[in-house]
Amino acid sequence: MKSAPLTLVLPLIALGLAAAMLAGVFWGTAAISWPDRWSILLRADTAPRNLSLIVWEWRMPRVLLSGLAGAALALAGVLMQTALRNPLADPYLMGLSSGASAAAVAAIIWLPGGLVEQLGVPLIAFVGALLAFGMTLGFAHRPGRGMTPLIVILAGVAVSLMFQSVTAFLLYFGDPHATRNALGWLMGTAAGSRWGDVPLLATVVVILGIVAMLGRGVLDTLLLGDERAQALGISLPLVRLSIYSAVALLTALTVANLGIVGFVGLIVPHMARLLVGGRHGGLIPVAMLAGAVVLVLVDLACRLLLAPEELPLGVLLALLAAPPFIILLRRVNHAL
Amino acid sequence: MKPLHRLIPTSTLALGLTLALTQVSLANTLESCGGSFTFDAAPERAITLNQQATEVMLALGLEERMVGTAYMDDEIPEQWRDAYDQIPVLAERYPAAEVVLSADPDFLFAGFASAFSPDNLGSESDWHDLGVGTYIVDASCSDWHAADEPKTTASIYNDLREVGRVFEVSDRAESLIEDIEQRLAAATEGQPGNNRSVFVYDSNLDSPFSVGCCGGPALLMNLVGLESISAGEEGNWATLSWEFVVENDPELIVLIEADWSTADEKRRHMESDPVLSELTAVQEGNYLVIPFSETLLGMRFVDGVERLAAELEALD
Repeated sequence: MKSAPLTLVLPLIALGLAAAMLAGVFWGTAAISWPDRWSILLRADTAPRNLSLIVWEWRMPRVLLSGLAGAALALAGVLMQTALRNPLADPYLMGLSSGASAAAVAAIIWLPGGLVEQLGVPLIAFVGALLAFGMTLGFAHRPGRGMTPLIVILAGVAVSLMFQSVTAFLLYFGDPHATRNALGWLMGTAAGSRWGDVPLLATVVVILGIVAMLGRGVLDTLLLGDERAQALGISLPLVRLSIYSAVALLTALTVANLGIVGFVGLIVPHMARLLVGGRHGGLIPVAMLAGAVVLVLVDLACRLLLAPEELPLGVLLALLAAPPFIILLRRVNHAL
Repeated sequence: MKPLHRLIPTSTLALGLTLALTQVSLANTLESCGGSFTFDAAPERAITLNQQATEVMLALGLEERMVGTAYMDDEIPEQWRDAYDQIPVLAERYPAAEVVLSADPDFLFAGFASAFSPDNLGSESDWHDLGVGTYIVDASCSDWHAADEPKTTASIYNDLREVGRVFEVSDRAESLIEDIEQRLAAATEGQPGNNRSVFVYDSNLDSPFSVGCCGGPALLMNLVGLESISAGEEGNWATLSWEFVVENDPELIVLIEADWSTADEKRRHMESDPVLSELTAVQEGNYLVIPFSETLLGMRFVDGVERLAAELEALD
């Protein structure tokens, strides 16, 4: 299959995102009539106050945060797959999610409630993610020889497994009620998103998205192999370290806000590649937009499917997002 | 006519005998969630797991016949503290099966089915094979209660009656039941809830963990005459969406007080949220607080009913 032209895919997917976000704001557990929807959106005085508050204070930051998280994870996934030249690489490969989980679960189950409330689980999770990232880099680094992708992958797997053990230990011996709260976090959820959470993630996603686009030439070169890239004058250790750091920041912030959200970072970059090919100039914006669409839609499904009960993202994510990916994959196979 | 006259006492006698015989054979058979077990004699070396089970034993005055307890949720109430202190604590949570077996028990009594999961003590029938009787609190046996069938105080009475019968302290069990029935009747007489709508908030800040149709806390609300906004949800508990709570704008909020999620923390969360702080109950400060252990269908359930009724009366 020849890649679709970017000028067609990009506007379509942007339109899709706009529609998904509007749907995310319009639908939810609380039913809102069509006239109310518009009056709430236009902040008319006739809008019912409680519904207006639900839309403006809860649904909007929730939809924005889901979208930003989807974009962040997709970008992180693209960067990891390129830096390691490995199609199975994902943002969590360097132990980030396991470190964040262990820290968050420890906080929820063991730390006194008052202290956790002060610091906030997101900050604790963020620190855990960065700790795991530091450990992975530390283990992978060999003085004088830098870091080869394979060693980074293996060090990341080792750190992940270690933190998973810690999490399992905490969950097993934790009070069942506290454990239940921790499980909700481990499965990821956009519930509880507030406006205050949005600016930091938005800034990081936008800046790193622009930086990645500016460096698209370097990223393309990485795909040619280490020797070719070096011959073209690229400092591989520096580029790789920058990529790892960018991925760590994107992923740790996402995990801190939404908990563990799988699938997007691994699969969405492939979806985007199938659509527009592997050149980063097209791949990065398409992957980021697609990641946003996927998370916004899945979050909406989590709110609607069992309303008034709410599901965590992890329950539905792969279930809903895998079939379109498999269809896409099969179509490409036929075309090949 | 005469033969008939003579027949009546005879048949009564026969019936009485049959009943007595049945009772003798039944007296030693205990029906539990995971199968039945017949005791040769009343147990002398019981071990309890989970606080609910421990409190049933202590309420029945059976501390002399206990060789161990494990897994407390909170403080044991004052009235049973001395009795509790005499009993060895085998573990903070569930003890390993070997620890239990080495205490040489003849009866294991658990508050939750998880006690007999493979990674804890192992199945009830395995213990029966070892000659050890078992029992799980009635309300915790999911095979006995459909997810959409509201539990009742009958579960509490059944536990007292069954355990009392096996330990041959049925009189004590019956007087406890009578006492609980009287206290419940007195506390719920005026229906202090007045059919007001209520949101029960257990834990979790992002999406509130609340009650479903059919567990202890839901029964508690019903008994005092409150109407839970989530009474339509299947199961004992339900994770709601905050939008649902706002949509229903409950007149009262019941906060469940527990170590893992304090009432204060939940109250602060609602008061600091831009939307939840607009709820009528939050604005008017219509909160009721109840400890988690008093919402379980056990010995302290009646304390919970009395507490909630008193709080409702104080509110008016």
